[in-house]
Amino acid sequence: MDQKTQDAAARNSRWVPAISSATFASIGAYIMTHAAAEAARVIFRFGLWPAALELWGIAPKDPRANEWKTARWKGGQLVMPGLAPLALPAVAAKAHARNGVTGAMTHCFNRWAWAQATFPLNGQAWTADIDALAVRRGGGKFARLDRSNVKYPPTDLNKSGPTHAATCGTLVRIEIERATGALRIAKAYSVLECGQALVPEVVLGQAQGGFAMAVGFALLESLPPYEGGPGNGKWNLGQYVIARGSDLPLHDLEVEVLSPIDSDERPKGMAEVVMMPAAPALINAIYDATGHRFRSLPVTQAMIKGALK
Amino acid sequence: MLTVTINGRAYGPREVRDELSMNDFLREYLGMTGTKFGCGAAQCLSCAVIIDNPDGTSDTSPTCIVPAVSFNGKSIRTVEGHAKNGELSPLQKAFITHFAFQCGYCTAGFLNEGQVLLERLARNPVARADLEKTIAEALDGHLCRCTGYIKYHEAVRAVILADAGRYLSRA
Repeated sequence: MDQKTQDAAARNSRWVPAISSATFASIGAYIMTHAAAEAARVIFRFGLWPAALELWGIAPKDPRANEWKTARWKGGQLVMPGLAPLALPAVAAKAHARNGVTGAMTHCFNRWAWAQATFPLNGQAWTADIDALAVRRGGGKFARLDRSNVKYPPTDLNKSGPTHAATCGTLVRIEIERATGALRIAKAYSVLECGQALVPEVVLGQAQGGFAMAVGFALLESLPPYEGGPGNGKWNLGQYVIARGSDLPLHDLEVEVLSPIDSDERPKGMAEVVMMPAAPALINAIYDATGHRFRSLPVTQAMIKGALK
Repeated sequence: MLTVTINGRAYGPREVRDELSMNDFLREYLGMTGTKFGCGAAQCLSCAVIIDNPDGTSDTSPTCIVPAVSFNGKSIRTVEGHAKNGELSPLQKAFITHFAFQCGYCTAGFLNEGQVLLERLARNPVARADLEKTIAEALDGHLCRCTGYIKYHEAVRAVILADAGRYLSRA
């Protein structure tokens, strides 16, 4: 849409440019974790934090009452320097009892930057990177809040491509047997940055699986068009060859996931990115070993042998 | 006619047509859907079950293109038979703690293969230096598209190393 259309539409406080965005790989995780984080932040600021202050006996005028950003959750407890840790169930029960905010629904929109708006909460103007908000108090029903001062990113940012993607680089060391062209991956190293990894074991598993997929693309998987290929309806895994354990450096793939820039860096999500650099790394390694630059995939054992003459 | 013992329970005798696959018998006739159907060409082994032989050894077998009647008189284990009284087997627990699987489609096959390997090593331990190669050879027939295999291998190895006296030789 053009800027004029967006500006006019945004005056309707219930309008958003898109209900949901693409969910491919990195961008899906980045957008969805953002909406969830913003909802959690509203619940914390206007439900759990005031409840905690009451449990700690901290008066509203006490300067510590404004230090909600210093609080941390550790082992299911709310921790503030110099105060007794509070277990989440107790804080939540107090939030319910005093009719604080106990639920929040947010909508967010990103176009190289987050849309931002202001919402009235507890007599304050709450400005956040969201464009719609509903809350519930205690055991009550959700109610939409009216936004003001909505700021949408300019429409000409649509010209830019996908953003907020994780990045990954891969190194491989290969060995090629001259007599047969057989290739063995001796060692591989991938370095990945994805912001905050919410479940590191799953991130690592995806990185390992992505590397295996690249090995298939680069060295094994062939899908010729027309009758000689899977279009003839007769292909199965005997013809479409994917990587097995024996094709991979099972104990020599190191994945380094870089730490977030700071403790507040958001998750970026990662998925395809851990596959992408491994295929060109392998083909570049084959060039380095043989002097022959292959320009289509897969590069099979027979092709490598042919290039070694 | 088909009579088969599955996870210690006898099924049959039952009339089934000759070309009924063991995979269809398990999944469609018995509702035991833990065993999966992947390629239907005995390539991926997501359909594999354990056959317990009379001599005390065990093997895995595909079920996708193997007739059910060829299992007549046999005793087999499927993924549903590993847990006892609601408690997961050591290998099942290791798969979980090591995040060994992702979508789970190949997992029953890997579990059966890994379990057969553990039982084989308990009868014939191998040297520690040969362990990674032994695991790799045992699991290499199983295809997985999600994981890149590494955590499956680490989980199996962890179970073996946690009970090295049982699975590894002194050599």
